[in-house]
Amino acid sequence: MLMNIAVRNVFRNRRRTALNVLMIAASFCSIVIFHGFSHSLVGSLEEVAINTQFGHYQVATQGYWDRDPDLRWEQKMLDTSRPEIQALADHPEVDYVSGRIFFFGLLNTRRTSLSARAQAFDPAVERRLMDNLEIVEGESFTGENPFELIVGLGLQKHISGNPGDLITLVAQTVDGAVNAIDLEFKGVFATGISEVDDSTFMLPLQAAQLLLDTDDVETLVVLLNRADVVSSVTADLKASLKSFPEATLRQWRELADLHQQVVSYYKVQNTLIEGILIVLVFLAIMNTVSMSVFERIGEIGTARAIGDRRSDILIQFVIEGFILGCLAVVIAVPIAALVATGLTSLQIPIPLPGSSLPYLVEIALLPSSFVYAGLISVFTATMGTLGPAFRASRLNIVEALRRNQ
Amino acid sequence: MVEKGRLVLEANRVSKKYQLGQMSVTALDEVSVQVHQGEFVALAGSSGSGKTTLLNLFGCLDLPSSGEVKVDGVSSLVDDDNFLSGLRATKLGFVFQNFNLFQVLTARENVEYPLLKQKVSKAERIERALMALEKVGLKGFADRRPNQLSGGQRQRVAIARALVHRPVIIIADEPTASLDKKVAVEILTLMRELNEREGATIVFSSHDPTALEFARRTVQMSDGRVVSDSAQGTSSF
Repeated sequence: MLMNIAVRNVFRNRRRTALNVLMIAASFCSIVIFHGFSHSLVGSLEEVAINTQFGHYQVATQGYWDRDPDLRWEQKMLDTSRPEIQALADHPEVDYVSGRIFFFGLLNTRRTSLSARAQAFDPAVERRLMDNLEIVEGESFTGENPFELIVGLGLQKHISGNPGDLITLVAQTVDGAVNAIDLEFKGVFATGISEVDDSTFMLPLQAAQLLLDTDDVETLVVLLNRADVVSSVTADLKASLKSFPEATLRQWRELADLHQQVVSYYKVQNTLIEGILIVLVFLAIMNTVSMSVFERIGEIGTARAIGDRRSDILIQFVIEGFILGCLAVVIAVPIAALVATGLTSLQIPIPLPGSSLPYLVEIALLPSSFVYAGLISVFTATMGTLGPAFRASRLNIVEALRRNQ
Repeated sequence: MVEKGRLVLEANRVSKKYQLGQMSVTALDEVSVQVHQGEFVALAGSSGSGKTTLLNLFGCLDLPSSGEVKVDGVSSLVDDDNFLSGLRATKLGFVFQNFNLFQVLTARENVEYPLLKQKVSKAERIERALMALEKVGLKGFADRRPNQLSGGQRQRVAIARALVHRPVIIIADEPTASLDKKVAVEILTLMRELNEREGATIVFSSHDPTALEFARRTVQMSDGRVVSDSAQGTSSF
């Protein structure tokens, strides 16, 4: 019956209840949408980072990650013919293992010479990198000719060259000698990461190895079939390299400092927004219950006179807050789902710091966010009643009864 | 001579003082009254005579500044709010001038309310509430909300609520003050019938001479003191 009374009290002043439900529901939707947005955004950034930069793991020699200045380049190179590398590639969760070399080289066109960062990889193996490279002009690697080159969108503006041009690439071999090769400028790419697009050009690993006079690679990129097994297969993969002590394996998160900073930033932002919403709901509920207590002083006096304890009064108001919270959540769930789906379908482009391409807004519908926002909403609505409910329970009975006169 | 029942309510040299700014106001001044089981007592007196203050002390809604009130032998001088709530819930029934029904509940639910404080099953609660409504002639109005009832009907519901849990004593503060004369007589007749038929002990306050005629004993108050206490027209002073 207590619940019954609470429900009827909640609907006593329908306009006020509607306003409160709206307030809680709006905060619920905001939390769900903001969580969904951050999740999608961080997920997209993760995907881009994995597919275009880090893979799920990278293997390199000891000291490579520490950028040891005493280490000669050839000492940083990995021998890909080792059976341990093959064992790594044979792991059932591994999609592919592919070598990369990074170096600085001088790009010479007819008009300009410009030093830029080269990323050499095997386009035939690194399908995911290829899939995530947006070719904005010209074409990608053909796979027929290893002496091809694609240039980052930002870098292209400085080299005064166009797709179809022949470019001479000059670089030092791993032994320190100067060498040069001619490459055909095939196209312009965009990874979405300004840092990469402004300074990097790409060429097939085969051409780079010829230029640098080596059969080895600097790093090995390991891509898994599924991202969700990363933490569970790490030990297996490390075990595969046990007999290759020069090689170290690192998870992509250990290498992606910028990504980690972005994730931390969004976590702080989420917490801040949630905090503001919680305070707003708390104050709104407190205000409503205070008004309700004021209007019901006489009734509280009557209930106390006929035997209600202080705790009964307190519980009565707290239940009302709880019901208000639950009601708002029930109403807010489909609204949040609809708004999130609607916003995603609008494909709103927003610029992201550090990104050369606009990000299309996507709101993930996460069950965990719905549960979390629901719990937060109900908890806040319930807690918001405590102060006024406590004051109601401490009212002097005789004075409260006078309100009925 | 009518044989007196057991003592169910007593005020022993009870005083109540209020502080109004710098001034101390004495609302009750060493009042002693005893009420026995089965009595139908009226507290009479003009406004400000101390009737309501004494009823509040009888009802354990307030505590005396000095002296002692005992309900069914239990002193209300206890510094335990839960104990006093329990005392009110089990031994006392209240009827108020403005009915004080819960607007969100039906007549039956209002009557059921005091039984929530006791370990009574839902089925029994409903049965007892309907019986109480029947006693006050409102069985057919059980599902109506207070705003769908007349003033007299509301007060009948309040009386049913006051007696549903079989209290030792029913306290009614100006129960007819908000009613017209005809309905007031009906309510007083009902209270008198409940006293005679059910043996309910009732103490009510009123300043209406007509209402006082229904009482079997009248305690006259003035300026916070008992000036006369007469049973069936016989003054004990």
